[in-house]
Parts: sequence; C-alpha cells; structure tokens
Amino acid sequence: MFDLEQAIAEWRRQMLAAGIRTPALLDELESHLRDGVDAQITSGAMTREAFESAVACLGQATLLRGEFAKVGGPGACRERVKDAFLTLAGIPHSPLETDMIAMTANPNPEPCWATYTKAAVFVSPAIGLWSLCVLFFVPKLQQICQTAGLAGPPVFRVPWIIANHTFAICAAPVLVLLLLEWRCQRWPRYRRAALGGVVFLLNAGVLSLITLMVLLALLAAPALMHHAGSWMPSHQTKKVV
Amino acid sequence: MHSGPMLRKELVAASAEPLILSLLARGESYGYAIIQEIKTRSQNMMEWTDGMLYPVLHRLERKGQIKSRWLEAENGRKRKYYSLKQDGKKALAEHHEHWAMVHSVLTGLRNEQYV
Repeated sequence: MFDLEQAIAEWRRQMLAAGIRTPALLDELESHLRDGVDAQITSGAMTREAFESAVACLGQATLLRGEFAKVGGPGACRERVKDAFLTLAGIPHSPLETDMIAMTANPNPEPCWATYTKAAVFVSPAIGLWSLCVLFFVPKLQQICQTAGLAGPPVFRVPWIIANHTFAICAAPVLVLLLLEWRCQRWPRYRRAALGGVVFLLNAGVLSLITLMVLLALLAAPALMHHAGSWMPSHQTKKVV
Repeated sequence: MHSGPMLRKELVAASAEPLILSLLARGESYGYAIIQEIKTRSQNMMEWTDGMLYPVLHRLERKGQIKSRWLEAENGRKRKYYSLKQDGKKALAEHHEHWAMVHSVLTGLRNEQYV
C-alpha cells in the first residue's frame, strides 16, 4: 500500500540531501507538491502515480538548488564561482537568469567541426615543431650526447623516448576522442574545454621537450669541447710526424 | 484549441517576470495557482518546470517587487501567497512598455512584407 506521507517525507530527505536546506523553501515546495498530487487524484490518477507525476513536474532537486543559488541565499557564492569557472573553461551552462524550463541536456553552442578545426589549427605549430625535432634535431643531439659521453639523469632520456613513440602518443588521444564521440552522451558539453586542455598540454609538452633538448645540448657542449681538446693534440702530433 | 509548437525557452524565460507580475496584479496568488493559470492561458504552449517558478518569485521578492505571507488555505494546509508591491507595479508598467514596443516593431515589419 502506497503511503503518501512517507513518500513526501522521503522526497524532503532527497531535497535536503541535494542541498535545499531552507525549511521555509522546503515547506513551499512541499505545499506545491501536495497541490499537484491533489489535482492528479481529482482527475482520476492513483495516489502513487499522482505523487510520481507531481514530483516530476516539480523538477530535479539538483537543478532547483542551482536555480535558487543563482537568485541568492545559501550556496549563491559557490554557484557564482562555478559559473565563472565554467565560462572561463568554455563549458556551456545556463546563464544567471532562471530558464523556467529545466534542461535535461545542455546543448553545445559550438558545432563539432568548428571545435576540431580550431583545435587542429592551434596544435599545428606544436606538431610542426616536434616533427622537425624528430627528423633533424633529435638524431643529431643523440649523436652529440654519445660523442660527448653524456649520461645524465633519466629525465634526459625523455626526448628520445617520446621521439621513438610519437605515433603511439598521437594515436592514443585520437582513439580516446573517437570513443568519446561514439559512446559518451555528455561529451559534446565538455568537448571544447577538453580539446582546449589537450591542445594546451601538447603545446606545453613540445615547448618543455625543446627546452630540455637545449639544456642537453648546453650540457653536452663542454664535454664535447673537452673531448675535442683531448683528441686534437694527438691528431696534430700525427700530422707533425 | 491552439496547437502550435512550444515556445522557445529563451522567450519563456524572458516573459516569466512580466507574466508573474501581471498575474499578481490581479490579486494575491500562490505558486501552484500561478503555474496552472499560465498553462491554461497559454493553452499549454508555455512549458514551465513547476519548481523553476520559485526562484523567479524569490528573485522578484528580493528585488522588492512582490511580497509574500503564509496563509492557511481552505483545506487547512499552509500556502505561501504572493502579492504585488508598488515597485512591482512600476516594473510591470515598464515590462508592458517594452513588450508593446517589440510587438509594434514586429507587427510593423510583418505588415511591410505584405504591402
């Protein structure tokens, strides 16, 4: 047997758990819920159906809490910080004005192709530079380090490792993106922010690796000069002989 | 019964405050009654999530345009009733002016199309 009072008590607990903690506000929402239940029962619905329908009409607790936070009261400051963060990250979210219609899914205002095109354009300098490094600088630097007999800490081997596995490192994010596009329904909301993050990390990674290689070359230079110095006299001696 | 497409959510959101103020200008009312009145008058073309009405009511109250009080209804249950304040009347007059202007521009442009 369905107990309406128990169901309403449980609904209040869920609202509390979702963060709607003001008793007056809960009372007001409960009053609305009871009006909804009464109207449904009057039009012939069973109590359980009437309750479930009224709860659905009222909307999800988390969405309500977010909307109340926007107009002030407890959690308003946190909600504004969250809004600012989402705006900066480029993640679509409802504006500060109340929408009146609870959104079940936030549409991405930017089309998919535009996000990927921008990401490709922004990542192209990093890809171009790293290709140049892999083709010309890395082999040369390896040769210099070997000649100079430079064996530094393991971090110095990072450029060689990454250069050797460039294809796998590039293929992994592409595969992850394909999977997300195919399987994840919430992905469109986070696509722009996530791609922006990946592009930033790739650019920062390439810059760091180039810096590391410059550092390696600077460390190898004295050793190389020392090596050349110890080699030159014998060579010159031979020439003299 | 009119059965057109549902109103765009942006338009629904923009019209929420003037509609609530207009309804309260007719007399004191409470959340559930306001929602039902809007649904009936818009012939269910304005889809409001019931719970989303309260943040708007609270915002209007915070702005000093409406006030509220708890009253006991005829069925013995307590309900929070809202009524219009002087600032609310001024805001409503402003809303009317703005919406009338939008309507006039839109109508003028439509009439020009058929000239």
